[in-house]
This record gives sequence, structure tokens and C-alpha cells, in this order.
Amino acid sequence: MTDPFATAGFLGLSGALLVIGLFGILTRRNFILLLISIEIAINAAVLNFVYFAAYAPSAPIALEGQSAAVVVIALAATEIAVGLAIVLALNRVRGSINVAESSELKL
Amino acid sequence: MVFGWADLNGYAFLVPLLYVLSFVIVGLFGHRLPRAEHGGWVAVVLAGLAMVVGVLIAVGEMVNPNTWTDTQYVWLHTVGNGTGTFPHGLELIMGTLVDPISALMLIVVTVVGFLVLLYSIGYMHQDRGLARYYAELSLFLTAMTGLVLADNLLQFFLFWELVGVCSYFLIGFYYERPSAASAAKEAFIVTRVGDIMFLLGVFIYFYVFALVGPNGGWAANGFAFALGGHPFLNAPGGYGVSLLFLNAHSTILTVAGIMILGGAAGKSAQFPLHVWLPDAMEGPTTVSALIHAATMVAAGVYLLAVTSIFIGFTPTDSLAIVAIGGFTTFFAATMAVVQPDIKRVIAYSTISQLGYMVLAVGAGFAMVGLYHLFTHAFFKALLFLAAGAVIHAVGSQDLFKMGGLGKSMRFTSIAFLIGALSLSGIPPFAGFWSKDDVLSQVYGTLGTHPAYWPFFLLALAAVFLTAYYIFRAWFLAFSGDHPRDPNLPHAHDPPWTMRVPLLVLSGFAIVAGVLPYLPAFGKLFDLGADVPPPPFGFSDALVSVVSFGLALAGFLTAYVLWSNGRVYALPERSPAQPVRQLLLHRYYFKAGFDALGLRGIYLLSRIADWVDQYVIDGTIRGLERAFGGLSGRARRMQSGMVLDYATFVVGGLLALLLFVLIVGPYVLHLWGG
Amino acid sequence: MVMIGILSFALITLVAGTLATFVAGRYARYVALGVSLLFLFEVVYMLQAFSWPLFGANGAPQYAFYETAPWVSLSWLKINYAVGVDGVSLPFVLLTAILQIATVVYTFEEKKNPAAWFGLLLLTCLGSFGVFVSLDILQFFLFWEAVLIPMFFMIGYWGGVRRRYAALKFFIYTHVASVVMLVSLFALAFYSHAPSFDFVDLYAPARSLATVTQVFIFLGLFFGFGVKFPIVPFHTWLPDAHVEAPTGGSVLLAGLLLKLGGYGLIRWGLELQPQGLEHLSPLLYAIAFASIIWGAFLSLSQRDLKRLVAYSSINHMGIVLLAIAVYSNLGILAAVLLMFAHGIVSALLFMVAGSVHHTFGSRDIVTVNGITPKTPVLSTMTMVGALASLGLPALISFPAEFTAFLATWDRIGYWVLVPLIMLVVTAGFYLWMMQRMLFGPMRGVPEDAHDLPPYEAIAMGLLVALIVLYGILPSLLTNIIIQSPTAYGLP
Repeated sequence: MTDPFATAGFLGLSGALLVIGLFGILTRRNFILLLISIEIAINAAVLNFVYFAAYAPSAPIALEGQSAAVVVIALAATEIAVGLAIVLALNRVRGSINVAESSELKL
Repeated sequence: MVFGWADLNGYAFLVPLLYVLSFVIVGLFGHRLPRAEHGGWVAVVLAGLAMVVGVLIAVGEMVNPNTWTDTQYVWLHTVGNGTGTFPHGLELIMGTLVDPISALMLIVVTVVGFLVLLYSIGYMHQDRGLARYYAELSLFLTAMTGLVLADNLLQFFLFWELVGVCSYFLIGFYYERPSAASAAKEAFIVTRVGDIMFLLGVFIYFYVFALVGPNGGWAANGFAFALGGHPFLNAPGGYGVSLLFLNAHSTILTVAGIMILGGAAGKSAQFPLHVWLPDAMEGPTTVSALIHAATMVAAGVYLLAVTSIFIGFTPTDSLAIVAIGGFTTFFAATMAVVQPDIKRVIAYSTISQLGYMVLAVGAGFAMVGLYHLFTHAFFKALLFLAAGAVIHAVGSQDLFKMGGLGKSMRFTSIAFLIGALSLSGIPPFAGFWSKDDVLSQVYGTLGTHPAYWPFFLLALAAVFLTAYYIFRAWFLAFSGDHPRDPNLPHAHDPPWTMRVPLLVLSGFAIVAGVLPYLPAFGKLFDLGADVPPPPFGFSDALVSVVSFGLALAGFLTAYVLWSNGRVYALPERSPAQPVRQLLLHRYYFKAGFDALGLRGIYLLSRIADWVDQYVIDGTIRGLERAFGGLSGRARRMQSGMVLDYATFVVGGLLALLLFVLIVGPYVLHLWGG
Repeated sequence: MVMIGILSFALITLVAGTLATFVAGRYARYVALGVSLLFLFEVVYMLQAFSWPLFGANGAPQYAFYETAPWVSLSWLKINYAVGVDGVSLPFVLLTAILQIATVVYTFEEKKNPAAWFGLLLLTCLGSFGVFVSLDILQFFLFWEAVLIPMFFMIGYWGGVRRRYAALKFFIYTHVASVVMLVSLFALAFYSHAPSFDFVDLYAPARSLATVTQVFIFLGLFFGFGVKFPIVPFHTWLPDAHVEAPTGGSVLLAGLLLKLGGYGLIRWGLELQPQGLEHLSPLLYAIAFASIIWGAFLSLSQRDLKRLVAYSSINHMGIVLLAIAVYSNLGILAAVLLMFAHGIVSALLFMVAGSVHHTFGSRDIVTVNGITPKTPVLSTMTMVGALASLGLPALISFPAEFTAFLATWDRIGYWVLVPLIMLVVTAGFYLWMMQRMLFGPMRGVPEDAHDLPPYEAIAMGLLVALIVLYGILPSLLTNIIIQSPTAYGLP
């Protein structure tokens, strides 16, 4: 459990996932690819929750990390649902899902 | 079970309760009873019942002298936890205390109250708003009897404020008149100044003399008289207050005494809080007779009398009371001398007479003060009601328009004459006995208190002025052949509802002075060892002769100048003209108060308003503008492009990381952490 | 079947009632009246059943009708649903019920979007009730914020000419204060190391915090609650909000919202951070005196009846702050009694101002004169309100002010002269207002002006009856107020 290589590996994995996600968020113009990048970044956080929960000394606190992971997964799912709805609406209105072309968020 | 006299004392609460009943009935349904004078007769009947109960209680007190019946109810209480100022909590008590002097005051209030209500039936008949009038008068009598029966200073203060507000409403009875509305407000505010002082005095006494209440908590202090006739000072079974204890608190007790004096001065219209009483004559004459002559204004004297046992221990306070009282007798009498308004003459006379009472209480003769209060209540109510009959008949208050009314209003003129003789201290009328007692008792203290000399002399001089101004008024109104103003309506004597009160009060004005000579009645002035009863009779022949001589001289002066319809006009170039102007302007006291209140304080409040709008709120508005400008710039960052936002998010994240990982530790390192 | 306590039941009543009112359309007013009556009935039940041991076996404070249920339960934080009342909060619950019903009746003939009006009205009362019975930080804060929103809309939609400005000003002031208050409450919870937001859990650890910590936390709480009071110099939102608010909004604003600040300061400030209060008492005295003087003087210069009453509220709440600052058993009694009294009296006075405005088209006491012959009932209500507000005995404010001054005298002696002298100014501006508006020759009165409509008269009559009742028998209230665990522990 306390193997430093294992820790480094897990942290490296989640860190890599986060950076890949962020990179995607900054460079993609396609809305669907953007959503996928966000999912990747969120999964980095989920991984961390699960991993560190394993270090917890006793049962109820260990469950806290895992339950947080479950909550975040559910959150990600809802977010995707909303995101895809926006994609459809955007496509219907503008005929394109290139986010660089729309500035509707401005008041 | 035999119902004895003493049992009656436990039912003293009935007296205020009857008046409350009258207040509720007349207040709610009075306007539906037009045939009963809009509830006036209801008020008269209930006041009559209250008078019967009140007088019976007083008789019981005469039959069983020196009984103190204290019935207490807890009004409000707290719990204590064994520490602090009130380790066992605090209790505020309401109760009825029947003792000799409260019985005496009950007679005054209930009898004069009943007579004035009866008189009102005739006098107020033409007016609108009668239901309001009788309801307010009933409420006043409730509060006044509650005050008289109070067994502690808190309750005294509570009813004290209530009589004040009733007075406010009754002065402003003719509220359409701006002068009446203004006078009502003035009366309330000026007495409120005194009330504030009184309240502070209550707090101080509360701390020094707090008692243990029925449930073991600290209670509002009862009057020392309430202690079952036990002497106030350190006698066995008494209250246990030792002189040592009093001396240890002498400073704070002196302050308390001055504060109580302030309260009494406000209510009893003593210098310098006297300005409101002459203006209070804007109310109906009946109100002036009951509230501003016989009862409410005397409450200040009653307060000084019941607290005299505390106040009397501090020589500073005694001197202050003597000074205020003695000065006011003369000061007010001078203003009465030039008044053209019949009611205002009597009003200044009231201030002056109240000064005598205050003087007596201050010199250490509380019972002598109450003696004068007792007689004064009757003859002054008589004077006001007789003046009211005149005003009712001719519709004017201006003495210089009247004249020759003695022919058409013989009954009224005689009643007024009896009142005048009594007021000026001509034997054997009532006023002579009590005023003579005041003067001779104060004279007796001059040996030990030479500082009282100037005030004694002022009071003596006021005797001359008193006789002069009241007979000036009598001659102006009643002597001569015909009214000076031909437009006055033909006058006639009043109807029986107004005559009966005049008749009864005339009787009292003649005999009230000798009533206390009856052994039974004299018991009402006997409170035991601490407060000596007044010595009835000529205690000092010299003072009696001098004061009688002065009164006679005043009468003769008035006779020479004003009798038989003569009008004495002061020559234009007379050196006395400025003095006359000064007196007519009431020493510019009212003008000064108006300037202070209306200009000074109002100006201050306008300045405060400006500061509030432009400095305090302005600062906030300035901040608002600054933030507005900032946000105008910041909103340009909001492009609406999702990718821009994403860049900000990531950039912010990186900045945070930079701070937590590098900048933060570096700063901590610099601080040596 | 799940047994729920009376407080939860009352909360459910109000929540369901509020929702029902919003959707009831033109029957909204009847629904609102029914809900108010039911709530009043529940409060009366609470009053008569109010008796319980103040302290538990371990010395911890206990609360009547206490209910608690875990909501969030983590190793480092517990957030509960916790409700309960003691002597300090029950009078405010009663006040909520009284003002709710009075306001519903007063505005019974509201024409402009009545469903929304009555819904928002009930929502305000629901929020206030929640604040008064909540014994958990997060729950307290939720209800606290829930009060702001309906009030914002009441001012912003039903208000006067400058309603948008007033509504925004009200919202920004109170919201900034709320944030400071929330941060202070969080600090209080986390510094106490009681891993809980529950008042009862926090009680002992919070009171034993280091003095310095308490001083800073109390300072934050004082600012947060003080803006609601309002204390000088953060008071300028109040006159604007009152002047622009509709009458019903003004009544609730003065009657309930100002009391939230006072109640919060007692419950979360005085009870949990007593050392902070004691060390800051010079500041509190100074601000209390400033509020008393400032409120009195500014009232004197106002022409608008509503502004006058609003500034007099600042004066009265200054006395409340003074009574809290003296930190004694008697002081808390006085503060709660005074807030109750002011809640009812200022509600009456704002109703009067509203009725004067409907009847004469203006609230300017300089141009509307001598209204008594035309509108005797309205005039009588004005007199009772003004006299009660200036502390006349036999009316409700007198026992409150008397005990407040007594408690002040107990602690700081002759300083009590400051509020006492201001009583003269208070009498001055009310009497001057009466002299100009009620008495004297009639001026500025339309020919067709008529006396109070029945609903307004009923609402005011209810308040007048209570003013007299509690003035004559204050022990009806004080016997409740003294049953407070914390107040009991004070000297």
C-alpha cells in the first residue's frame, strides 16, 4: 500500500490525464471534443479520490473518498447530458458546433 | 363575618377600577348615548360611586388611625442565579397602599373629581366631542387615584406619566385651535424634562432602598410609610435603615433628591419648569379646575411629601427645595398681577400656591405642605369653576371686557368671593389656616437654617401680591354697573348642575381649614414619629398677624385701584412700565424656551439630517461609483467566447499553483517561518 | 407514522402554505389568511405548552420543542437539521405570527398581482420563523437569506417611485453584511474544533475560545447583524427602503427584519462569544449611544411620516443594542421585550403611514394638517402608536424601556442619562408630528377623503389591543423571556 512507486505511478497517471484534458480544452474548437477533454480531466480527480481513500485508517472515512468519487462520476454524467443538449441546440441554431464562432454567453 | 373598616382598605383598587369602567363604557359607547350627555351621566354616576368608596376608605382610616394596608401584585419579575446585583431576581410591584395621607388624597381626588364631572354636564353641554371629553377625564381620574394609592416609586412614576398624557389630551381638547395643540405639546415636553429626572431618581432610590418582594426577589422600593407604621430609622422592627447607612450614601442620595425635585417641579410647575401651566389654560375650564389646580399639579407636592423622609436627610436638597418653592411663590405671583385673562390669573396663583407647599415640604414639614394642598384643592377648584361660570355666561376670558357681573350673577360672584378670601388668607376661611401654618413653621426653622431667610421673605411678600391680584380680578369682573364691552351677552347664573359643585366647594373653602382640628380628621395627617403632624392653630402669633396684615393691605390696594368698575391704567411714562412689560412677557421665559426648543434643537436636527444625507450616505454613494467604474472595466474580459473562459480558468489554476508552491513558501521563508 | 414536533409542523405549515399561496391565483388572500391563522394557532399552542428544564444532566443548554436530525454527517463536519426555542426566541415567534396575520389582513385588498404578493409575504414570515427557531449555522443562514429575497421583490415590484434604487441598496447592504456574518460563523465553528455546525454542539467549545479569537469573531458578527439593526453609520439603507417599500413591506421590514439582527446578536454573538462582547462593550456602548442620539435628532427633522418612523426605529434599536451590551440577565429581558414592543408599535406606525398615504395622497406632515375631524379612527391609531413609541406607561414599550434603562444604570451608572435625555427629543418629534398632522386647522385634506377601510382598521385594532394588553400585563411576555438558558447564567 505504501509503495512509493505505486504512489508515483498513480499520481503520474492522474496528472497526465489532467494535463491531457486541459490541453484538449484549450485547443479543441469542436464542442464534442471539448466535452470529451473535460471528462478526461474530471476522471483525473476521480482517480485521486479512489486512490487516497485506500490510505484511510478506518472504514467510514475510507467510504467518504469513494462516495465522493461516485458523486463526481454522477456529476460528470449529468454534465455530459446537459452538454450534449447544448450541442444539439447549437447545431440547430447555427448549423455548426464550432465554439469559436458563438459568443452567446455575453450578456 | 363582620365586615370591618380595615377590610375595606383591601378593596381600594375598586376606586381606580370604577373610573376605568367609566373610561371603557364612555370611550366605546359614549357617542351612542346623546341623551345622557354622550356618556357624561355614566361618568358622573360611576365617579359618584368611586367617591363613596374613597370617602369610606378615608373614614375607615380615621376610625382606625395609623393603619397601613398594602396589597401587592407582582407586575413583572425576573429570576436570579445567585450572583450580580439581583441575586434572587428582580420584582416590579404594583399595589394599593392605604395609609393616612393616601386616604387624605383620595378624598381630594374623588370629591373634586365628582364635582367637576357634575359641573361639566352643564358647562360642556354645547361642545362637540363630549364622549372623548368624559372618557379622557375618567382615564385621568383612574391614573390619579392609581398614583395616590401607589405603594412604590415605580408605580408612582407609571401613573405619573399617565396623568401627564391625560393632561396633554385635555389641554388639547379644542385641538382645532393651533394654540391649544401647541400648549398641549408644550405641557407634555416640559413635564417630560422633569419626568426624566424623576426616573433617574427612581433608579437611585431603587438601588439604595430596594426591598425584598413577595417572592424573595428585589422589589421596587416601597414607600417608607408602607412599613406598617414602623419608624423609618433604625428602631427595632422597623425598616432598619441606620443613619450610618444613609450617611454612607449621602452623595448619591443628594443627587436622587435633586432628581425627585426636578420631577416634582415639572409636574407642579415650579420655577424654572413653570412655563407650561399658564398655557395649559387652553383646555376647558373644568379641566383646569380638576387637573391644573386641585389634583395633578399637586402630585408633585405629594411626591415630595412621600419621599421627604429620604430627601430630608440631605441639607443640600432641603435648601434646594426651599429655594425653588419660596422663589416660585413670589415669582409666579408677580406675573399674576398684570394678567388680563381671568383663567391665567388663577393659573399663576396656582403656581404660587404650589410654591408654598413645596416650601413647607422642603423645610421639613411634609404634613404642613399636604395641609395646604388639601385646602388649596378646594378653594382653587372653586375659583376655577366660578371663573368657568363667568366664561360660560359671557363667552370671554378677558377681565377688561367684563364688569358689573355681580348684579346678574350674584351666586357666582359670592362663590368667587369666598374662593378669593380663602386664597388670600383672610380668617376664618380655609386658606388662612394652612398658609399661616406654612409660614409660621418655616419661620420657626430660620434660627437653625438662616439660609432660608430670603425665601421666607419672598413667600411673605407673595401674600400681599396674592390678595392684590385675586381681588383685582374679582373687582374687574364683578364690581361696577355694567360690562365694559357692550357686546357681551347678557349674563345669568348657571344651571343647577353647575351650582351644586360651586355650593359644595364653597362650603369646603370655608371649613376645610378647620377640619383637621377634629381629632378624627386630624389622624389623616399623623404618620407616626418620623413625620410630625402639623401643629394646628396659631403657633406663631407674630407671623400670623404680619401675614394677615399683608393680605389686608393687598386687598385694600386692589380696592383703591380697581373697585366699583374703576380701571387703573399705568401712566405711559411711569418707570414701572418696563417692569409691566417684563411681567406681561412672563420674564421672556417662554420666548427663551421656544428659541431653545424650536430653533436650537431643530436647527441641530437639520444639520444632522444634512450630515446623514451627504456625508454618511454620500461616502457610500462615492464607494458605489468607484466600484461601478471598476466593474465597467472588468466586464470587457467577458467576451462570450467559451475558449476565452477556459483560458482564464486554466490560467487561474496555474497562478494558484504558482502561489501555493512557490510564492507562498518563499514569503514564509522571508518571514523566517 | 413519523412523529414530528410542533416546530417542524409549523415550518411545514408555512412552507406548504407559501407554495399554495403562490399558485392560488385570486384565492391567494384566503389561503394566506388561513395559513396565518393556522400558524397563529400553532404558536399559541407553543406558548401554553412552553415549559421544560433549562439545562440537561451534563449542564448543556436545552431547548423547548427541540428536534434534531443529521443532515450532513462527515468526520470533520456535522450539519444538522435542528430546531428549538427558548425564552429569547419564543417571543419573536409570537411576533412573527402576529405581524403575519396583521399584514395579511391589512393588505387584504391588494390588487397588483395578489398571488405573488401574499406568497412573498408568507415567504418573508417563513424565513423569519426559520431564523428564530434554527439551531444550526447552515440552516440559520439559509433562512436568513430566504428573508432577503422576498423583501427585495416586495420593494422592487410594489414599491414607490425610486423602488429600484431602494431595493438594490437594501439588498447590497444586507447581503454584504450576510457574507461577513457567514464568514464569522464559519470561523466560530472551525476555531471551536467542534466538528459541527449545531448550536448545542458549539455551545461549550465556542464559549471557551481564547479571548482574542472571540473578540475578532464577535466583531464580525456584530457588523453582520448590526447592519440589519441598523447601527449608525450603516443605517442609510433603512429610510430609503422604508420610504419606497409598500406598506406591508415596511411593516415586515421594521417589525421582523430588524429583529433578526437583534436576535442573531443575542443568539450567536452574546451566547456563543460572551468574552468578545464583554471586551467590545465600550464600542457597543458608543455605537448604541450614537444610534440613539442620531435616530432621535434625525426624526425631528423629517417631513415624511415614514422617514420619521424609520429614523425612530434607529433610535429604538439603539436602546436594544444598549440593553444587549450591558450583558446581564435584566439586559436580555429588556432587549427582547423592547424588540417585541418595537415590532408591534412600529408595525402600527407604518400601517398608519400607509393609510395616511392612501387617504390623503401624501405623507408630508407639513402639508397634511388637522386630519382628526375627517378621520377620527386613523387619528386615534396614530396617537396610540406615537404614545406607545415614546414610552407611555400602560402601553407595551414602557416596561421594556424601563427595564432597559434599569439594566443600563446597573452597569454604567450615569451614562443612562444619554438615552434618558433623548427621551425628551423622542417625545418632541412625536408630539410635533401629532400637533401638525392631527391637530390644528384642516389643510391639504381632499374633500372625498374617508376614514379607514375595514380591513386596515381591523389590522390596526389588533395591534392596538396587543399594545395595551402587554402594556398592562407585561408578565405574559417576561415570564417566557426569563426562561432562557443563557440569560439565566448571566449576573
